[in-house]
Amino acid sequence: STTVNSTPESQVESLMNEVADEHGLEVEQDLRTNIGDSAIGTTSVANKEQDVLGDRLAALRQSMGP
Amino acid sequence: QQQQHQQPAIRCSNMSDDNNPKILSVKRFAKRAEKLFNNGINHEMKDNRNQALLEYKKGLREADEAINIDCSEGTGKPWESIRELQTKLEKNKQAVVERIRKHEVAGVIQASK
Repeated sequence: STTVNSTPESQVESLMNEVADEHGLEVEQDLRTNIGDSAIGTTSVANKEQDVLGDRLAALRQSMGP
Repeated sequence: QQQQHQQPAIRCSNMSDDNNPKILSVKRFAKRAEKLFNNGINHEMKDNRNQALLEYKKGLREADEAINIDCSEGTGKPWESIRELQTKLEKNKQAVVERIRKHEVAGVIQASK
């Protein structure tokens, strides 16, 4: 027979905190928050890239004209 | 058998909005458009007008793909952010359309001389 182990997220976080404590590290946020923030961050990077592109197009219009 | 049917449903319910296929597609197309538009600008700055037009036009197709994905119904940060991205891309697309138009008009004038 096959045994599938599933570790609850709370246990993972608790273990991370334990390891962090042992090594004198600080875990500021839980796993879910970090994953969410980094994914939103990707869209925010894409937004910033569009801002830079907009600036380049505006500069081009001013410097090179038609 | 029942267990196998339940597993994908669990994954789906846990799926973050950031991993929503619509959001991922918008990001992917927007990234390609941004790269092609920047390539076009680089060519334009080197006076490679034809190459610039090619890159701009390829970028427009990618931009349209990103803009035409309907993200109007989603709520929350990821959806607000993706709609903001679509708005910015639309604005940049209009600026690129203007560049193309000006170059094509200039090309016609030059050819007629």
